[in-house]
Amino acid sequence: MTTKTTLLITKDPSHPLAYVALRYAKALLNETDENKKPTLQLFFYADSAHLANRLRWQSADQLDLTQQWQALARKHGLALPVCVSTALSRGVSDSENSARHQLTGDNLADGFTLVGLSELAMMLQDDNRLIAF
Amino acid sequence: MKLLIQLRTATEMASYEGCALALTLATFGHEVQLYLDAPVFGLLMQPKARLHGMIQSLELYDMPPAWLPEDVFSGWLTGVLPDDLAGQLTLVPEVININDFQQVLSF
Repeated sequence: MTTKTTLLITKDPSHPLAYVALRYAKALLNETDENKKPTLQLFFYADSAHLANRLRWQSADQLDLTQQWQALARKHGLALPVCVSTALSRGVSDSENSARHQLTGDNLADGFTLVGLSELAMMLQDDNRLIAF
Repeated sequence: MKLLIQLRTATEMASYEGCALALTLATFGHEVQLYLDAPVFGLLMQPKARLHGMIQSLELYDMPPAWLPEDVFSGWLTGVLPDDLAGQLTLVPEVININDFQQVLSF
């Protein structure tokens, strides 16, 4: 039976659980038994909003989780929604929100979208499984 | 969905984001229980902190009083807070079946 799984990711990209979340998502999506394959939904909240900053630099020997999530989303047609208020409070903005809040420039990484927290509440309306990282 | 959201970090942003998540989920009909750990007591005592005002409004969201740790500081805290805020707080039950909650989130 196909189930619906929502991953709520809150940890900073430097936190070990941020990497575990990615591994978990990959494992779920690589499930070969179609009957067990879940519908996966993602939501980035709090410190995980740093993942959506395309200007976040890190040394070459570190895994780039932003690129990893982007690649996974492209491969499996996943949305990468980020809570808009947690993103803005960490200096991550798209052009629309920059215009609305009189901010100069934007830095939202490709594939990520800024959404309201109500999106998460609605994801959880249906009978599904919530896993937090 | 029934959730326990624990606020354990003594920063304005973390406590605000945890509480905002709780209030939003409650607005959409989810059952949310807040637990306020000692590190956020300082924020609760600041009338201008967002956490202070949000906890005051728990009843408006049909949320139960937030749980406090079972220790002497919780008793002291409820004694010094305004009545309308103290009324939204209660000591954590002696026995909790964590399996009653589908997920436990910490901020």
